[in-house]
Amino acid sequence: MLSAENLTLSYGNTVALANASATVRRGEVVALVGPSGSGKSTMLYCMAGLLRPDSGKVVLDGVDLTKLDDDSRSDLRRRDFGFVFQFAELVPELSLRENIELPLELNGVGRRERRARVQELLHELGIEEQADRRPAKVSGGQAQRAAVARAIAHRPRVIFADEPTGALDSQNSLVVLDALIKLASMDDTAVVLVTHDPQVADRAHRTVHMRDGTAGL
Amino acid sequence: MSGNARLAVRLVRGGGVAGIVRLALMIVGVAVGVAVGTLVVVLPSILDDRADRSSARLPVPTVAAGGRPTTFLFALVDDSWHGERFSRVLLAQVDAAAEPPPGLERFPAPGEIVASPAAAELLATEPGLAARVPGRVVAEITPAGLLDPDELFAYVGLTPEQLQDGSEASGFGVGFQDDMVRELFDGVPRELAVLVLAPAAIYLIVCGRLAAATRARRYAALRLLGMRRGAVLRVAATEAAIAGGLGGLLGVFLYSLLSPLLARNHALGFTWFPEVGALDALDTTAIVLVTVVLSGAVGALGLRQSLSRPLAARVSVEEPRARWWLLVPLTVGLGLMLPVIVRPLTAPPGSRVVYSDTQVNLVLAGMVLAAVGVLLAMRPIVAAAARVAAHPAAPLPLRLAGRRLSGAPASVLRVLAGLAVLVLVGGVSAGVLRDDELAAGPEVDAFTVTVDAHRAASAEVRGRIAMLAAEHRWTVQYSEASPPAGLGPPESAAERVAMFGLAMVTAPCTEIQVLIRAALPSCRSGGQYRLVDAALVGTADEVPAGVTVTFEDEVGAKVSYRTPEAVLAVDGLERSPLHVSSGVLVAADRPLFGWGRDVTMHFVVAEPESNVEEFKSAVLALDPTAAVNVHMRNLGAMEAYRVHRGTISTGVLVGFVLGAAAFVISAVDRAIERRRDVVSLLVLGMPLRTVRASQLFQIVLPLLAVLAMAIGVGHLAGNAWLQLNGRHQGWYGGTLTTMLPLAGIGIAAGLGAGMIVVGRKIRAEDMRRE
Ligand SMILES: Nc1ncnc2c1ncn2[C@@H]1O[C@H](COP(=O)(O)OP(=O)(O)O)[C@@H](O)[C@H]1O
Ligand SMILES: [Mg+2]
Repeated sequence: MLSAENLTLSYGNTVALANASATVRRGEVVALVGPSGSGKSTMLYCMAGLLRPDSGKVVLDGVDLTKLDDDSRSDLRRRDFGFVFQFAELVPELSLRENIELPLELNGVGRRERRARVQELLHELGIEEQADRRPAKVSGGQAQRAAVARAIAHRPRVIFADEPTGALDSQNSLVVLDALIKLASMDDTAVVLVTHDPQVADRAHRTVHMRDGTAGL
Repeated sequence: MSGNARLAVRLVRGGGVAGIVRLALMIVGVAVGVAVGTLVVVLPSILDDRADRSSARLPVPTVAAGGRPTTFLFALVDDSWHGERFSRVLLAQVDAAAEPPPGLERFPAPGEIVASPAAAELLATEPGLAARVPGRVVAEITPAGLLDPDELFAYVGLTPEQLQDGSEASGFGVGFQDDMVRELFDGVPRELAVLVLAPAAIYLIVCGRLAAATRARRYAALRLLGMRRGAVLRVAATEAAIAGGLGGLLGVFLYSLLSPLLARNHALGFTWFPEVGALDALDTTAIVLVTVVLSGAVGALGLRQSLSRPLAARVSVEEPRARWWLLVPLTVGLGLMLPVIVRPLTAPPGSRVVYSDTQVNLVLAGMVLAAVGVLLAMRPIVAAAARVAAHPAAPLPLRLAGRRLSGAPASVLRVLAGLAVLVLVGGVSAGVLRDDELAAGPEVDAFTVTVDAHRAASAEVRGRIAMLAAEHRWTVQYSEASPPAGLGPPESAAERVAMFGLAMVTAPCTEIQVLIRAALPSCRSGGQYRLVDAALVGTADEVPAGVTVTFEDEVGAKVSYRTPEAVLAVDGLERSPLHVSSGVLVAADRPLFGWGRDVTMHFVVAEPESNVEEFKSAVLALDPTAAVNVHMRNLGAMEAYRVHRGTISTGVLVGFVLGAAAFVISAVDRAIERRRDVVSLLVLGMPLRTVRASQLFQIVLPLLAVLAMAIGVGHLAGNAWLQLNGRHQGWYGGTLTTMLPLAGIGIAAGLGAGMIVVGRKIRAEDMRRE
């Protein structure tokens, strides 16, 4: 469904990606693993259309993302992608509930439907009680669960997660990760996961190893 | 260089573009503050110099010269040309030993004029003005003899026949400061200081706190590395001191550019010689030292707080909630002002409302309360705007902006408050200035001109002046007054007349009826009457019949006169242009005893004001020594008004620009610190438009709310002041024409800031934590 082919990207003199390739199928959970600085995050950003590689293609169902203009890539992200980062990156002024609602709203989902979906996710992730607090007033694990809910709320086709559990203790890590994988599988959503934690990588269907900007199985 | 200093320099250099921009902003801020501060400090000495120049050229009357002999005769003519003062010193019978005044090489001989450059130019191009000054310009007064480069001033040489009755003088230069000149400018440094230094301080505080979070993290990291508190403080102080020192230097440079400009372009309502305000090397060193020490101290003090609360940078501090009672002072203030503003609207047209002292004080208290109220209301007003914007049904960008606003930090409110206060001051001062303007020169459709030509060469000249074309004319001559024999007020009407003299008004019956706006059926041409205000009939102020007084005739001989029996009582005589409440009326067109020295001639000249200038020219062409006084045109008050208008409008404008700059800078800084939040919205696929709109709302919304409030209050307060004084009729829109452009500048600055803060590109580094 989504494939990156022969990506190269340099930041000035630093080569971050050198001919790296990877694919993700519908509903599949793929982990990008490798040492720090090996180009995992860069690869993820390229696959999500956040960065444009110097060369190579990123194809989603036959469409090359690298050829799309900024507005189309925005539309794509809004409709078809979800994101989870190491730190929750929630909008600080909005409550957890409003944060989760945001992608639905951006996609023009009706108010009643939005409420129902958010309630379901809050329940699923066990953060109903904190729903009306601002991100600064909840724990890191709770914020990260809200971030997972926000990434999945609009039923995207791919969720990109860059070290989603990097800032959490191992207990919380697994809870958040399991919730992400479970919710994704319910909607047949693919997950691309960057991690250096073997325990986390174990939960993936497939792992792609990265080293010095190249990817291999 | 010590280790701390080296680290500080490295930190300044290593801050990247943002660090350099911040440093540049601080330097500019310090520079502007230093430039304005220097001006405020130097102004008093500029003004003193002006007063000294004025004293140095005042003729010293021989009677006050302590035994020195008379060396010349003089008369001062206080004339003006289209509102510009044009004083002249008329000179005659100059002794060879006389020392010329400053700025002159020698005295002008009869028929010669030594004029200031500005006056020389006008005399050459304006025949109407040249007619007032006899002779030809032979030299120009050098700057040493002038108050400012634009001054109109001249020394005029006359023959002894031309200058009769001149005052005897022993030389120039009185030993005391010319208070009149100094007082005119008394408020200038203070007004400037208040209007400009306060916003400059806000600006500096804003710049000093730029990237506060980033720097707090940096210093926290240094602390983690084991650097001591004192050492961190020293690094911070050095960093600030570098900015301060550079800013001080730039400020001195800025001052040296600006002060000659200000000196020449009337921005403060007057000009001066730029050399007077120039700084020397010692001044420069002192200024730079002061800025280095002050900014270093401020830099360290600012950090001390965040070091004592190491977590403050991370934990979002709750801002105090907006409380409704913060609106009370504003409401009460407006309530107190309102009656004064409403009353004239409901009162019958043309009637003048008079207020009691209590009412006046209540309104003044209301104005003060409202001004303070605007400051206090800042938080509730911004909070209310935020609440409206954050309504669940509002579009997303507005809602996001509303949410961010509801927690607007105190620093934003401070900057907004600065802008609001300046707009308010602009509005109120527009009202106050309008009143000053009307006080100095009310709008009238006719001008009363009084001519005293006692130095004129002959009675014939006075007769010719008296016959000059005008709407109306009359003459007044006072009888000899004898100083009171004893102390205390006069006991009878007759004694009063003997003490103060008797006013004899001469005008035909037809003229007098028009002037007093009443029919005088009993007035006969050639008749003589006692003239009295109807309200004074039977009081000690009424001129008694049959009293004998002494007048002087054309040749200076004494003539006795007995007051007549017949009396004309006139309603409102005191308020008529005659300005006489009790006297004798001679119904004729020529004074009873001819054109004596002490006959003053009075005229009514119709508008426009250029007619008055022509009339003055006609009078002075006949007698260049005449004193011509135009009622309701107070030259000193006009000058004071111009100086205040210049100072206040320049001050408000400069202050507002500084305030707006502070607002923009803090808005951009906050946006930069929030860039990651913006990026995370973009990652979610929020269209750039939406993000931008939200940023724009967030900046412009509070600005609009606060400026609207300030404009409303400023308009009301300015009008309340005008109504209290009663000189202006109806509503005055000038407050709005002052405030709206200011608000426009503010909004434009806000919009500009809103547009530049959101970058289009998503950059990889914005997606990771440092
Ligand atoms: N914004 C950037 N500017 C310059 N170099 C970068 C930037 N982001 C990443 N790099 C470099 O690119 C390489 C790959 O980085 P990254 O994809 O973040 O690796 P990983 O996520 O595997 O740790 C590293 O050598 C890193 O130093
Ligand atoms: Mg990474």
